Amino acid sequence: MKQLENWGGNKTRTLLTWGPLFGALLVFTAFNLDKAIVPRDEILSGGPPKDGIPAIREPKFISPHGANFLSSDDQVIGLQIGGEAKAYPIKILNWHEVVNDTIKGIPVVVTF
Amino acid sequence: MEKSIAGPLAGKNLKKITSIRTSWKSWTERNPQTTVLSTDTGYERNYSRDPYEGYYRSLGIWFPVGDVRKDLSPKEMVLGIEMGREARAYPLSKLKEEPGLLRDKLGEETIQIEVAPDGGILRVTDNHGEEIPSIFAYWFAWQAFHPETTVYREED
Repeated sequence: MKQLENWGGNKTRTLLTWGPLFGALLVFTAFNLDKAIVPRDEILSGGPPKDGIPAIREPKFISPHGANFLSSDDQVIGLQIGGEAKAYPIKILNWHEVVNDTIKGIPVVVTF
Repeated sequence: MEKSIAGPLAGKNLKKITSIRTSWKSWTERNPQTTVLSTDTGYERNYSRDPYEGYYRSLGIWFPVGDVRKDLSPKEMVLGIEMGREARAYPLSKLKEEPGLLRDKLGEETIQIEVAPDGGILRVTDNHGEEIPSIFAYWFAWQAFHPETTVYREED
C-alpha cells in the first residue's frame, strides 16, 4: 500500500517499468500463493523481491538514554503487555515493515 | 485486515492487540521504564532517511484498491476503530482540533479517545475503561478494508 520508489534504486525502477507482468512473475516464484482466498490476479508485487524489505526477526532493545537516533517528535508504536512497555520507531519500521517479537512469552507482530 | 490471504495459513486471523502510535516524547513521559527497538537490526539501512518521503503529501496511490470513497482525501490519516460490526474512521486533523477526551457511540459501546495537547493519541478505551485496538491508516487503505465504515464528524 505504499510507494517503494526509493528502495532498490535502478533495479526496483526497472521492475516497475516492466509493470504487472514481471511483478506477477516475481510474486508467483517467490511467494506461496496456495489456497489464495482472494483472486490471484489481485495479488501484486510491491516492487522489491521477497525479503527485499526484510522483517526484523531478532529485535534488540535499548534504554531510552541510548536512543540518540530519536528526537522528541519522532513517531513510535508503543506496546504494553503485562507491565512491559516497548517502543518501535516508525523510522526503523519504514525500512522493514514487520517486527516479529516476543513479549512476556507472547509472540507479537508489529507492523503498520 | 489481519487475515492471511494465501499459503498454509490462508484464512486464519491474527488476534489484534492494543497499541498506540504517538511521539517518542509522549511515550517516554507515560512509560519511563520503556525499552526501544535498536537500530542494530542486523541490516544496513540509513534510518535517518525516510524512504517514503514525498509519498505522504502526494495524492497518488501506488497499488489499485478499487474506487476510493470520496468522504475524505485519499491520503488523509485516520484513526480506525472497530466495535462489533461497526467500523469508524476518525480523521486525525479533527481529533487534533479538540485535545482531551472524546466520547463517541460506536457499535453498542461508548468509546473514549484520549487526545494529547500535541494531537497525539494517548488511549482508546471502551465502556469499562479497557483499552481497545485502533490503527493509524490512510483513508484509502482503511476504507478498502472496511467498505461500510462511517466517518466521525463533530455533529454526530
